[in-house]
Amino acid sequence: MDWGVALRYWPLLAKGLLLTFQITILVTVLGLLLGIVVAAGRLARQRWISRPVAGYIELFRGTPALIQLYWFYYCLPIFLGVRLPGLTAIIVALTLNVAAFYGEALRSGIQALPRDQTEAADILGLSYVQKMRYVVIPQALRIVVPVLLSLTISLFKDTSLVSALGVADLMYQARVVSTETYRPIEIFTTAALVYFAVATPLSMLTRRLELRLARVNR
Amino acid sequence: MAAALPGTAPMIEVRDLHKRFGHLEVLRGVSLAVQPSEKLVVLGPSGSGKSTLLRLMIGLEEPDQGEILVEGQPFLRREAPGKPLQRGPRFKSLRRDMGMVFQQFSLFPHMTVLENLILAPTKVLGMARPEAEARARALLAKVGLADKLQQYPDKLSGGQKQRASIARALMMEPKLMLFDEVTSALDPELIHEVLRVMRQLASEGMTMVVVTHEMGFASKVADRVVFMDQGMIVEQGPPEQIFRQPRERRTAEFIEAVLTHI
Repeated sequence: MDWGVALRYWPLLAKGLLLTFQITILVTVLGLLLGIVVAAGRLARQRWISRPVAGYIELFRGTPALIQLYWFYYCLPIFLGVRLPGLTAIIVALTLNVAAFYGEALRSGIQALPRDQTEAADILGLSYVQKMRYVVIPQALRIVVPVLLSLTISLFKDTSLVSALGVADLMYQARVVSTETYRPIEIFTTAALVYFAVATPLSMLTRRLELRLARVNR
Repeated sequence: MAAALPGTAPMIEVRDLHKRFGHLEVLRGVSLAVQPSEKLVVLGPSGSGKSTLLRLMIGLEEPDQGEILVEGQPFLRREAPGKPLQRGPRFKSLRRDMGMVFQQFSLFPHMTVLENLILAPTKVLGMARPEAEARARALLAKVGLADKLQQYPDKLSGGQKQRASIARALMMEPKLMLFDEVTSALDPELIHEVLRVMRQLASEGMTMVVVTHEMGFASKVADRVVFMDQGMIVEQGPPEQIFRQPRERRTAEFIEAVLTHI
């Protein structure tokens, strides 16, 4: 075993990790924004809005993320006749994927709100957008923060799928280095430890938040 | 009873209101008019339709049939079950003239008391924040919560929460206040502090419709008491008549049951 190889190639792995972070953060932000729209659409009284949104959610929750990535990367250009830059197609696919999960989490948070909260907002004269912005979303977010964090941890790990499409994230760089050095055990173990080192504190934070929210809501 | 001046419309009037939830007919043709400055107390056993009546008055529920007018202007109307609901052209602004306080307080738990109070005036009326804060401070002082404006609702007692929620409703300067069993969820020792605020409001001339089981409050403050049972108004009149000489047997039985319970 030559664990020094991981250290020697660390700059390359770090560059990959940076891209992994960038993809995770960008997709989280876009996914949350779209997730709010998805939740609102899912809860819309008009069936012509809620039905297609429900269909979208089921489609993205019921198919593997890797297939979605392939589809947006290879198939979409054939249908649209426009080839999206590789990273853009990946960001779009991952965003649509996580927004389906975020949206469902937010919907459950919104539906968990006592009805008197929205009624109080109605009586005070708040518009639909104001009611969502100031009363519903902030409270729903609090309820679902642990779930959203868990989903984000999953997203962080799932970004490794983009390496299959040649995007130079941590996983991709690990593959390059292991091919170059013939040291797959050391390199992939190091990559796994890096994912673990980022994901575990986030998981612990999620658990602490869950306990705290459980106390507050008691 | 506050007499209606000739030519002035009632503050709120409901005509032949019907409402059912599934198979349960909650309101069966209720008609009622509340005059400006009148204090109306609605009594009745649980399930008699009192709360539903209040919720219809402020537009939280839609009538299956009947009409609601606010200051003589159309608010909600449905000709018959199955017909489309008609909202008056000034539905939103008329609703803004009404405030409602619920049994379960309904303060927004993620905002301080001050933020709860200034939200609607700043966002709905476009009031400047300093002006809204000044009004909030004055109202909180009036309900005895001057020192609680930076507190979150979960740090307040039930009585304090209810007083804060009354202050929040008053921020919009309503002409009519609806109170839906606002003391029912409170410990007995906290009830009086909420009733004190309501008595003060009444003495200032606020038009009030109050659903309550507080007979003392009803007899001292109400201009008129309405007794409801099984979705209908059984009897109405001045409190002394309803409490001492009820005409209807059901009213007498209810009053006796409540007084015995006290």
